[in-house]
Amino acid sequence: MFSRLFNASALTIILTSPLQAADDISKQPWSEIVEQAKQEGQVVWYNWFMQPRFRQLVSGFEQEYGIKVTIPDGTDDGNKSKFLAERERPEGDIDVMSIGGDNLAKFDIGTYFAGPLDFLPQFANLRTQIDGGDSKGYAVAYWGNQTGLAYDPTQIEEKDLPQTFEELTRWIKSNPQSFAFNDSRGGGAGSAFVQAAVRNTVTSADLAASNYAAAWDWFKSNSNDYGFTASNADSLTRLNGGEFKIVAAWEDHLAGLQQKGEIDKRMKFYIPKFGMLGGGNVVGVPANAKHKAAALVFIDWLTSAGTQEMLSKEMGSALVNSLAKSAGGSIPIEQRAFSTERLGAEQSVQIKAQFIEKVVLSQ
Amino acid sequence: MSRTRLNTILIALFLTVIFLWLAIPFAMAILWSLVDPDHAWSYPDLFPQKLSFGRWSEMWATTNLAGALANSYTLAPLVAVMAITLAMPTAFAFGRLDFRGKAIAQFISLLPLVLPGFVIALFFTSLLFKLGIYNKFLGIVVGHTVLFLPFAIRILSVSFSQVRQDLIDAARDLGAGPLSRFSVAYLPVLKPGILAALIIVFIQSIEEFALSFVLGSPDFTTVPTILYSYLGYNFIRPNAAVVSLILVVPNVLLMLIFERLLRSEGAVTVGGKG
Repeated sequence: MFSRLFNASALTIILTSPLQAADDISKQPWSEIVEQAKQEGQVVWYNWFMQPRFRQLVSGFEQEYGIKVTIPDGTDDGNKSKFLAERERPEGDIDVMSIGGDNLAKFDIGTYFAGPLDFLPQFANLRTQIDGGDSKGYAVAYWGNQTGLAYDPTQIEEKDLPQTFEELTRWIKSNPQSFAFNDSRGGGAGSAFVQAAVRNTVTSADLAASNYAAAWDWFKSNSNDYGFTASNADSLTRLNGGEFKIVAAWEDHLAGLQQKGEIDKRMKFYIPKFGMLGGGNVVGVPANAKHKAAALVFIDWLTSAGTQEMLSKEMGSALVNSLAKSAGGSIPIEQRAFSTERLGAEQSVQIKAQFIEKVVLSQ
Repeated sequence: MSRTRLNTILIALFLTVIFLWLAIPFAMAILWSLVDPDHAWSYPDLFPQKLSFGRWSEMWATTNLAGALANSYTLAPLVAVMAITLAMPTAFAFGRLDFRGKAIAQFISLLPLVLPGFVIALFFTSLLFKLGIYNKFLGIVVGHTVLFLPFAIRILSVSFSQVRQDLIDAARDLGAGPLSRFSVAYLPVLKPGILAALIIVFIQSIEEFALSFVLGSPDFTTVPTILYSYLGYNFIRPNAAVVSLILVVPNVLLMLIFERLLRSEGAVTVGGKG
């Protein structure tokens, strides 16, 4: 009985005291936090994509503050598992944790992260809602991304690109196995296309009632004509290999691979008029982070206007700081208007599950 | 069809399969790893436009490949030896004794194979933290040993069951002590089993990602950590080819070494007339 009481109170302490520690830090003036960060001297950031590239780009932060940034080579699943496993430790390995905006609804962020972060100097310019998720102030957006269609200009001319969903359907029928999207279990570009198909084939009444039958019918009737790849990377690799002419892709992923010499630089990207979703990721400080001050200073740097502009220019991300100015980029500004929001978390999960059940498994 | 003709056809078939299954993918991996970073290899080129060792030096410099190699190749032999040592008594029991609940015991010993990697990694890590084991190396050694015990137990059980009782009896009759009995009657037959178990546990440990990442990162990196990230979201085929080739070569070398060290003539030869 006593041990159960002890465990219960221990649990309460564990769950609340890191938050209290964050409260202490939130009451300090920012200059003190920076000093403490410099003393801590290092910060560990768990991000699941483009880590080698990020390692190069954070050198600006390392030089400015003298704080070493470690970005481990993890995967999406690996990082999430690590994050969950670390939770019970008094001090964890993770100082800054990246989470996809669409994953925010899946857990109670207040018990996992320190915060809220409203004491950050630029908090007013930052986003806490992105990609259908709301961080409730415990995490801020550091990365915006856009899905669209990547194409090979040597195989299809810009004027022939399908823009409306009907045009795409006709194009797929007249060019079988030239368009592809990936299994949603292998990355978000495929599920972005599935959501675009849902929005363009299902009436708004049916959408509100969660009846997506019209979309599954579209997929089944075209199943011999579109290609179905294993992952984001698989789609782009096979575009590069000449197997497909148009694939669903992430703008930042394509830019990153082109930079690394994996995909030929001639490949282009466009957002069709029928709209594809834009999303983003957030960063927060886990409640049991070892280097909280360094983590906060790093997040401040990562989300600053200057850094956002640099990331956009170097890696093709979308800006998430309202003060940052767009550098122009390869996509005309008018196309950005076709970007849509991801459907709500519950609907997204339903659509993903039903797609697998009704389209993938029934074939 | 004569025997030799059949043999020739089968060998030709075998070589074709080897060529298609191993040689071509290997050649592709080597070619991909030599693609110059500034000139992507894309359709419609049949061969890369420019070859260079740029990727190899870049990968060696930017990822912690040297450290990861050192970690993986210190971890794996230790895990292999520990797994075999721990598996020996159990394998002896399963291979040579009959007792009540043997089937259930055998079933339980296979449980680590049943659960998915990340599930085990997540909860095993939590368990280790609860037990206060924070040393990453030790934690991963314990984790891997538990995970790969089933392999060692199964293989060694088969080996133990092949040891001939009359040899053991003969040795005892001639006055050999327990240690001599073991080295004369058991060891020659066990050698191929030990070799097989060592290799399998070694390879499994080298390639295990989930537990080594969840427990080991960020300080303790292993080669799969780097490889998995390059094969997943960051799939950059030339870089993944470099890491894959690096991972293959030491394994092949070690296999050749093991093969030479632990060669056994087999149970029949050892047993004499049989």
